This record gives sequence, C-alpha cells and structure tokens, in this order.
Amino acid sequence: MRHRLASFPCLIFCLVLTTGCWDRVELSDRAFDLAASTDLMEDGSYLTGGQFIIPSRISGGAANGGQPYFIETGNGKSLLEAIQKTRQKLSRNITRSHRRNYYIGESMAKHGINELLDGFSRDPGNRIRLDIWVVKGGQGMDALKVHYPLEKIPSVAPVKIHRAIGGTTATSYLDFMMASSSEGSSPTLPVVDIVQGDSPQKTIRFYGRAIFNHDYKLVGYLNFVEGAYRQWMLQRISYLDLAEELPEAGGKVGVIVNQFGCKIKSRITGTNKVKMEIELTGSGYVAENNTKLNLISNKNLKLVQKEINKKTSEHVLAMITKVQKEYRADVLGFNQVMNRQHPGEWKRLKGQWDTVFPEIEVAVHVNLNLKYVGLVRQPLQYKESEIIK
Amino acid sequence: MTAPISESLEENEELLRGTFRNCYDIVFRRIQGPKNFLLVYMDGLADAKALDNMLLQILGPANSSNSGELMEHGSSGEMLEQQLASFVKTTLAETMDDVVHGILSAQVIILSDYTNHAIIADLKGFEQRGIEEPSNEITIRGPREGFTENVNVNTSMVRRKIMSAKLKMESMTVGSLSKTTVVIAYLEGIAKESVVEEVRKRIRQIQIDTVLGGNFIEEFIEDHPFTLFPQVQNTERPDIVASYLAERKVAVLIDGSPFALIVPCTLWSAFQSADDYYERFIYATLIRWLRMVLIIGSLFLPSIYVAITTFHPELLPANFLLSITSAREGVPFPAVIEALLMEFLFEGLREAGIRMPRPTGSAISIVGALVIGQAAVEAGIVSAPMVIVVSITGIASLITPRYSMGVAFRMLRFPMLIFSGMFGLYGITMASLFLHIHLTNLESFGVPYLSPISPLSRQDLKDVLIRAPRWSMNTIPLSGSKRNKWRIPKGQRPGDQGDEIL
Repeated sequence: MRHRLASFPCLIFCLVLTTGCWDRVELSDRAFDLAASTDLMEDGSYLTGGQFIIPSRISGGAANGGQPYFIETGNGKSLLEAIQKTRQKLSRNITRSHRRNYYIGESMAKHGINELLDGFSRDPGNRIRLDIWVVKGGQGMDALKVHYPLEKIPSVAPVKIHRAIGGTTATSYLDFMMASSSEGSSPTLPVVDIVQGDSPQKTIRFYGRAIFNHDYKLVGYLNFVEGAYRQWMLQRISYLDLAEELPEAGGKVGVIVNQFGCKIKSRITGTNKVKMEIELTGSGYVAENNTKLNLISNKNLKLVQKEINKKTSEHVLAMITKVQKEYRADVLGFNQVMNRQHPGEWKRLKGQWDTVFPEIEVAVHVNLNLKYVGLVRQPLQYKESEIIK
Repeated sequence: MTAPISESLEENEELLRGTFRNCYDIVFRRIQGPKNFLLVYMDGLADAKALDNMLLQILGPANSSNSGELMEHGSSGEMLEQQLASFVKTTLAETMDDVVHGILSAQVIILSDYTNHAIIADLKGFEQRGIEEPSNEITIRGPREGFTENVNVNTSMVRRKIMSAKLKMESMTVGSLSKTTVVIAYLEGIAKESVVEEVRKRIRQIQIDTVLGGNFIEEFIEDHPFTLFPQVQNTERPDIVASYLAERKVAVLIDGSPFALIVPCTLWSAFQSADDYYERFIYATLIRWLRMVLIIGSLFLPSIYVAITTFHPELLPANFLLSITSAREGVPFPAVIEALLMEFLFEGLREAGIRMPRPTGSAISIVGALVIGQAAVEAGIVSAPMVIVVSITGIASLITPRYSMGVAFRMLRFPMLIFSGMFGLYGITMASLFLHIHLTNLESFGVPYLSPISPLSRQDLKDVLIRAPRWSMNTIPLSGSKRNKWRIPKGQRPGDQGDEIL
C-alpha cells in the first residue's frame, strides 16, 4: 500500500517530464488574427499585416465605439522578419488557429508565393483549413482594410460570400498544396477584388479563380462564371445560375442548377495526342423566362433545354481553350483523368504534360435536365394569345 | 451477570434494582396476591396500555377463579406462560442476563415467587415515525412507502413485497453498547451463496460499541475503504430492496436506520433510478441516457472548458471563441483558478443549503444567486461563461438518483480540474485513464465494479446502458452460471401471440 501511494505521485511527475505540454496560455494573453496579408513592396521587402481582434469590443455591439479589430503590420526582408516586426507591437501572443483568410497582393502573386508556402507549412499553429486569396489589381493590405458592413469582423465576409454563391470554402490552401505536389497539374487560388460599391466605402467582391504556374507565379485569372464552369468539371459546386439568350424565342431564359455531375473520357489518338470528351450533367429548374414560350409544354421545355445545353457547351469550351492556349496550365484535372484511365501511357506522358496539355482536343457536351418550371406556368406579363403553346 | 434467577422474589428485585440504579425510567410493579408477581419494564418502551389490558385479562374478575387456582397451584412459570401466550408473544428467561437484556429491548419481565424462570412478554410500544414517502428517492409512478427506523417494520415491508418462503432474514446483534439488530435478507437459492456467506462473516466480525446508522456497518464491510466510490448501495425504498433481492443481491437492514444496505453494488447503479422501472421502457431508456450524459458531463465539463480555453482554443468555432474571449477580458484570474474558486463556492452553497435551518433558506439562496451569479460577473471577478459552466455542472451533478454515488463524481471534479489546468486535454485523458484503471481494480463482494461492461456479460447489459422492456429482461443478472439462468420464461413479447384480440 505504501508502495502504491508513493508510486502515484511519481507517475504524475513522469507525466510532466515526458511531454511538452506546458503550453498553457490564457485567452487574455492571446491575440487572435482572423485574417492576414502579405505584399511585396517595391524595394523587394515583404509587408505583412494582420487583422487582430479586440475582444472587449466584440460584445455590446458598436455602442462602445470603434471597430472590434485593428490592423498591425510589419516590414522585413523575409517573412519571419516581417512577422517579428509585427510582434514587437503586440502585447499578446499571435494565435493563428482561427485565421481563415490570407490575402496576397497581385504583385506578390506575380512574383511567386513559394516562400510564403514554406512558412505556412512549417508553422504548427497555422490552420490547414485556410483560404488564400489573391487580391486582383491591388494589395493584400487593401483587402484587410475593407470594412464590410454585414459582418462584425470583415474577414469573415469572403468566406461567407464564397459559400453563399455555391463554392467550396476553406480548402484552397490544401488544394493548392495538393495540386502543386501532384504531377502535371497547376495550382489555383480564389480571387477577390476590391470594388466601389453603391455605398461610399469600398467593398470586397468574389472575383473568380487565379491560375498559377509550376513556379507558383500568377499567370492569369478566370472570372466568376469561368471559375464556376471549372468547379463544375471538378464537381465542387453546389449552386449555379445560367442565363442564355434564345433568339428564336425572342428572349432570355434563366436556369438555376443545383445538381452537378461530370464525366471525362480520354482517348489517346496518336503520339502525344490526347482527346478529351467532357460530359457535364446537371439538373435544375427554370427561374426566369422572358420568352413567349409556355414551358409547361414538354416540347418548349425540351427546346429551351437543348438551346441552353448548346450555349453552355460553347462557353465551357471557350473557357477550356483559354486555359489551354493562354495560360498553358492544367487546372482542370486532366492529368488525373489520364492517370486513372491510361496509367501506362501517363507514365510516358507526365514528363511532357506541359507541352501535351495545350494541344488536347476537347469536346464538351452539357447535358442539363430541367426538372420543373415552377407553379408560374407561363410568363404572366404576356396575354394568353401571345403565348406559344 | 450470568447469575441464575433466584427463587426469591426479593432477591431478584434487589439484584435488578442494583443493576438499574440511577435509571429513573425503570418501573417495578409488584402485584400482591397468594403468589407475588413482579413486573419490570422500561417506562416509555413498553406499551403500558397493552400491559394493563393483559393484567386485567389474567387477574381480572372474569378469570378470578381460574387465576386464583393458577396462583395457588402453579409453582412453575410454564403454566403462567401458557396462560399468557394467548395474549402476547412470550418467552422464558433462565438467567439474569436475559432478563436485563429483555428489559432493555423494551419487553416486560414477569417474575414470580418460587420460580427460577422469568417470563418475557413482548409488549414493545415505543413511539416511532410512521411510514412516509422517502424524500431522497422519489418516483412518479412507484410505491410511496419508505423504510422507517424500526427494523421490524422494515422487514415486514420487504416481506410484503416478496411473499415467498425463500426470503430468508437472518438476525444478528451488533454493537457492544447499542445491541443493534442487524438483519441480513436474501433469497435462498437465488442469491449468491458466496456473497451471503461473506456478508454474514464480515458482519459477525464487526466489533463496535454503537451502530447508529447504515454507514457504521458499511465502513466495516466494504472491500476498498480508500476509494471515492461506494461499494455498498443504500436505499430507503422497500421496492428497490425487493428488486435487488430478486437480482441475486443481499440486503442488510439495520435497526434505527431507514436505509437498507445492498451488496454487491456496481458503478452502473449510479445511473439507475427507481422510476426507470415504473415508466415505459423507451422513455426510461432516454431518461437514463440523459442522466448518463449529465453525470459524466458534471465530471468533465469544467475541466474541458478550462483545457480548451487555455490550451486548445483552436478547437472552438471562431465566433464562439470570440464571445468567450470578450467575456473573459479583464478577468484577473487564470481560467483554472477561476473554475476552482467557483466550484468551491458552489459546493459551499450546496452544503449550506443542506445544513442550514429551514427559515434561513431564502437568505442563502438570495445571497448565493446574487453574489455568485450576478455581482461577481458585474464586478469583473468571474467571467459569465464560467458561471454558466459551473451552474450547468451543478445541476448535472444533482441529477444522480443515488446520492452517495453522486458524491464520488462531485469530488472527482476537482482533481480533474487540476489535471486539466496543468496539462490541458492531455491531462484530462490521463486523469480519465487513471480513473478507469482505478475503477477496474475495484470490486464489491467479489463482483467487479464495472461489470457487466467489464468483464462483459451480454445478457446483463439490458439494464445498464438501456432499460430493456420487462419481458426482455428474462435472465438473472450476475449469473455467470448456466443453472438457474432464466428468471422469467422467454417469448412473452406482446404481439407474439398473434391477432387474437381482433
């Protein structure tokens, strides 16, 4: 008994020694940054900024004055030095565990972001579910400074916008790393830009997708719709609205798509010649009908469906061609299709994929199924006689 | 004083007066006649009314000839005893020792001339509490009777629940001064013989002066004295005793205590309430789950709060964390100190609530609610989330239907808090590991404390994590043997019989 009583404190003492678990930091000794930015200055140094929370201003609303956050910056030859400069101004430990946004200025993105990524992957406090945003036509700091009226902490806004328009959030850092480490593919990042809204202050806007090359340098952008088509091909989208002009019916038809599917078939047609057949499927419903067609009749609905499928196929093909010829970076997952469907050939092709990719022959078939037209059967603004049954 | 009873009444009286000197409550009543009688009893313990009635019956005019004959003739006590037996329960005493014991246990002693026996007439009639609803174990649909301080009443209540000759009640006397009656109740052929024998042995070995409550016995017979977990269960309800007896357990009833002890006992009884069996089984199961979540929550909640906020804030969603951070802003203490302080205060309030005189109750609740709830938060000494955590914990720790089991969880909260304050979630994991090792080491009268979960016995699980329907609980728990396995016949599920009712 005496033995056991003595061994108990010993065990606990061992517990203390064998682990490094003395990282107790009170909440009041932590500074949470919910967003940060890095920019390349003209003299080649880095400027980092962080949007830090002021906890005492969180509750009680704006009544006690001022924003619930402040921005602190640091400037240095390397990232660590810049962060260290920031720390010199902060009374609390920087805690990055809740940082969901990281803004990169356009100049920084063009210069290449590999140094940044190394710092990210080494820091254990860094969150892996992180969205890195490229700020189109601006500096990361500009995005940090934007005051977004709907959210208390403005850095929450881009994530929520991204989710609200049907994208996949919180995976862009991970996706970037995966794309850059797999053979053949090129990484992408989501893009925001800062626009003058209707209100006097500037606001943040989800723009689309930024395409990087293998040296982690920005080569170009896909705009919102193009980015959405790409997400459709990768099946990472939950909501998309399409509006197409139907000249023969004399108006526009708008469709909301909420189920998505994609099948890619690849064929090798010759040495270093690849053909891709992309079938995008989806189902949706009619949300807008400015034509004189009564969509309750199956014939008219099929007509609209066919027309939308044709138009969308053209747009998707245009997007793919743009990626192939202009950016010459495989961000469409073609490398994975090849790897899965022709593993033997892929071994040979993957070394020269950068030259093969732009020459791939692509055919796109959009196969959208309009499931219902809603309870408003025919456009109410037209007279009964004008409606084409 | 093993002296034999003398034939001389005077001698006996003198001896008894000597034994009971300075006892104002002893009564000597001499009845003169052809043959002299001496009645000795304790005032207030014996039923004086019944005694007078008895005397009237024997000595009264209706029986005068008969009794006269008896008085003249009967030199032996047996005759009188036979006569008395029609009115009261009587026994014969041979020694002075028995006489003294009889007087002390509220009986009336009848001594007479020329006899070396004494008649002990059972005329107990002291004041006692009536049968009331037990205040600690309340049920909605169950019976409303609870044990009293009188062991005879208690055994009768159990006997009324189990009208079977298999129900054995062995009486023992414990306590050199108190001479308390302790009754071991079990069902012969159902209870584990080894457990019965062990209980018998352990109670026989007790050497104590007074037994004033169940715990006096419990502390002598439990297996592990230095643990926070009770290995003997106590209950105020005869229905609980009866149900446990049918589940092969042994009950110990103690005179003077309205609590019966039940052995063996496992941890899972902390989650079982009497009402589980009086409500329909789906509801009872859900309520049992609620109880489990809250009891285990009361053990871990403050520690998890401290660990997450001080070690692992990344585990919280951002908005939640921001609310907590803003509430903790300006609080002077580290979270673990704050938690300890509040838990300490809460326990203090609770203890005060139990012990205080009734009229001061409102004062305590006002001061408690105001000081802990409001003023401390407004003064910025304690953060509001901590108050919420402590009050949830407080409510959760009060939910346990077995008070003595709940005490263990209440106490363990504090070491858990210290571990979490030192090592975070890692510390909580380690502390739970230690707790598990400890619990698996415990056993109560040969039954592992965590059984039937560990060691696993699948049939018995029907009353642990869920409360299975009655017709499904058809095996005897704690069995382990093939013999006597079935408690009730299988296949009694309603609806199995077909559609006869149509």
